[in-house]
Amino acid sequence: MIPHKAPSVLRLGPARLTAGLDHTRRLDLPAHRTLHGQPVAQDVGTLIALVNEVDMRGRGGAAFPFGRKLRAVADAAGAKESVVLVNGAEGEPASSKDAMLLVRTPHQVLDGAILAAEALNAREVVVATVAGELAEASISAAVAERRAANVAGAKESHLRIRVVGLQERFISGEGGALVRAVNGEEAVPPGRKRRASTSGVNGLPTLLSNTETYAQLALLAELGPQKYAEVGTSREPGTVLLSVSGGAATNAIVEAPTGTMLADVLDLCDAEPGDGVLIGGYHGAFLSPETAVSAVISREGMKKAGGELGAGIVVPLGANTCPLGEAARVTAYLAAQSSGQCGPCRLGLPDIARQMLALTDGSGSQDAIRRSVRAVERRGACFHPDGTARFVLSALEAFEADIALHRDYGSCGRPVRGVLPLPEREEEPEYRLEVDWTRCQGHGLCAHLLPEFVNLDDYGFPSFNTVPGWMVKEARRAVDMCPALALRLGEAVMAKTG
Amino acid sequence: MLHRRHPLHAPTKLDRRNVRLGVSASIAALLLSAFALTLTNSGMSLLGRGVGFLEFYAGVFALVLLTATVALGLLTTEKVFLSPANRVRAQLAHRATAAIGLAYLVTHVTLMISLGHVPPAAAVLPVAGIWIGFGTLAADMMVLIIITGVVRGRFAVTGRPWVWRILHAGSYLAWPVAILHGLTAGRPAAGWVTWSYVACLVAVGSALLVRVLATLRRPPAMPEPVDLLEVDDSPIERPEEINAPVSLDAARRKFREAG
Repeated sequence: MIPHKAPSVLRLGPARLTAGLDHTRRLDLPAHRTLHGQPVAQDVGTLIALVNEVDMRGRGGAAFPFGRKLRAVADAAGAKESVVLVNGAEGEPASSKDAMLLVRTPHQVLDGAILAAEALNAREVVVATVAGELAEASISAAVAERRAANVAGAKESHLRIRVVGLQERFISGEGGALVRAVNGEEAVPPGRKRRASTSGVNGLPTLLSNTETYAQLALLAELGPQKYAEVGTSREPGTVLLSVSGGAATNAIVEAPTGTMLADVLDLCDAEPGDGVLIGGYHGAFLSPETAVSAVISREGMKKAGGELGAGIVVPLGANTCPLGEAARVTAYLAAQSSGQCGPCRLGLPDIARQMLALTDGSGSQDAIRRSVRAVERRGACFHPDGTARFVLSALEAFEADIALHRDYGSCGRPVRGVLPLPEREEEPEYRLEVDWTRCQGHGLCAHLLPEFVNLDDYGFPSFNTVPGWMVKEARRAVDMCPALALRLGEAVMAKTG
Repeated sequence: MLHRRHPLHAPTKLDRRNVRLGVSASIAALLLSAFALTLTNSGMSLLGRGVGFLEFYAGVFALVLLTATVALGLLTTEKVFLSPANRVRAQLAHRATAAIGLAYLVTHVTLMISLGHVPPAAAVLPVAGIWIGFGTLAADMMVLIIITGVVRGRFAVTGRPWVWRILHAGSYLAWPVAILHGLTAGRPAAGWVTWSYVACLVAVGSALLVRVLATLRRPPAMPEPVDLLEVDDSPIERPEEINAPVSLDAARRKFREAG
């Protein structure tokens, strides 16, 4: 399979995960084997020792020590079966490194996953990715290539590899939600934390980690710890993948050794920090331009600069867009992405988003936002409210000057250009309730049945808001129950809703 | 903030997947157990007793439920009796009693025909004597009225909702006929049964009378007159012209007159 388009790749320093990608859009199995050789199976003990030697961490954002995770799954499984789950559903609109790996070098990911699976005696490898995207096609093709190679006499692993396509949502990348989605349940985070390492896919102990983690694992096994640690800082050896987008002239995945200056990465992508640089995605934080210049790419360096490296998302804002408006847009998106399970998140995030919007026209107050943020922090089943809180607070801090402009003049004079990428909104039908005013007697049953969409005036007569498609059943009921036979449901209009 | 997983209102908690499943499962269990009963002798006698019970009482149940339906229908249309929330509930109950009543009516008719009390044609035509004929007539009308109730939404879209009102109001005719049938056909009714039916007739009849009278006597809906401001007819006082050229003599005179 040759993808018709592929995320572009740049690098600072040696080519590790991105080796060979200058010449081809996608490394198929023969090309991959020529470049990286045949992996050698290892037992759990050696693999954990290898991983601990370079202190490898999960690359999905939480930076959990991978060796501890391996050990936990191995202990929980004992002699039983286990599963290796590859998290390729990033959810983050600004991140594309998982998609890049799955589209362009899928065998690197599969090598790592199979290495872990064979060490753990796992029953199968499950690759969860966004349904209907290029990544799903590429990884499925990679699995087929391996099967075909085995028929032709190659010595590929015979372990079962299952590709699962998921609906893309912001929270679908969260570990618990991912496991539930793979199990065929609704992709929302579970109310009570269950470690995937004790009970994950089909209730079996599951090694769940990000796509890049597995790719790095294969690389580590191929190179050995000495060679692997030749680049990067001594505490976090190796390279990281950074998704650079937004105000950068070249949107690309950058492979850079840890310890690289953020400024170099931005230069490589022809990007200006502008009003700030968002690090770590929409649950991350903005760095002000001054700190961005001196920031270093590594977990430690980013923490010193006041951010989190997270999943390696770098979004420079540039100087041409209104930074506060951008932040307000993303906050509204994050609010709409709440799964609605936890009350503080479902009610609090839209509140924060509205207040951010008020701040952009100069009417809101920062203290009110801080109060609302405090009401949602650490009050949800998953990290979504906390991450949103961090994003909003860092925006308030980084755009202090811009907020003052908005307060004084109602605008900073720059338009909102949509530099922070958001997924396309879905088209959803909307219905309009129509009333025959000559028949309406003001009985008010419709207002009782549809309190959100029907308001009664002082005389008891209704006025209507448009009804979203998912409420159409209730609207029909109101039409049926109108005692005066005065209500009708109008034609569906396609409208963009978040 | 409205959220699709948690709309503020929940018009009914009965229309859930679990409730639907439970109802279908229990109906299926009922049918299956009846089928199982036919396999044994004691089961057959049990079924026979059940059929005998329904032979006597299915019609009574149908009549009681349809009486409730008429009363609930009347309650739910008027603003004076109930609050909007209770009117919604009354409307749902109206539909439920109508559906169950119809089921009993069908049971009653099929039993009467299959047990040979009346010829099959009596299901639609009044051929089996005058008292049973009343029942046939009432049943036909009830079925038609229930059909109009089911397709009610269609009439809201067309320009003639009054057609629906007239058709559906046929129940006020069909219901007394049904009561007449209930009191006269079959075994003679006990005294308290007759009296309670008469009480129902009187109650619903008087409520209907109130409704008809209120509709007839309601003044035409016109905008309330608003008092106009009084018009003042007194002549307009012209102010003294002050721009006129002042003669010095006249001014002096005026000054002197004023003292």
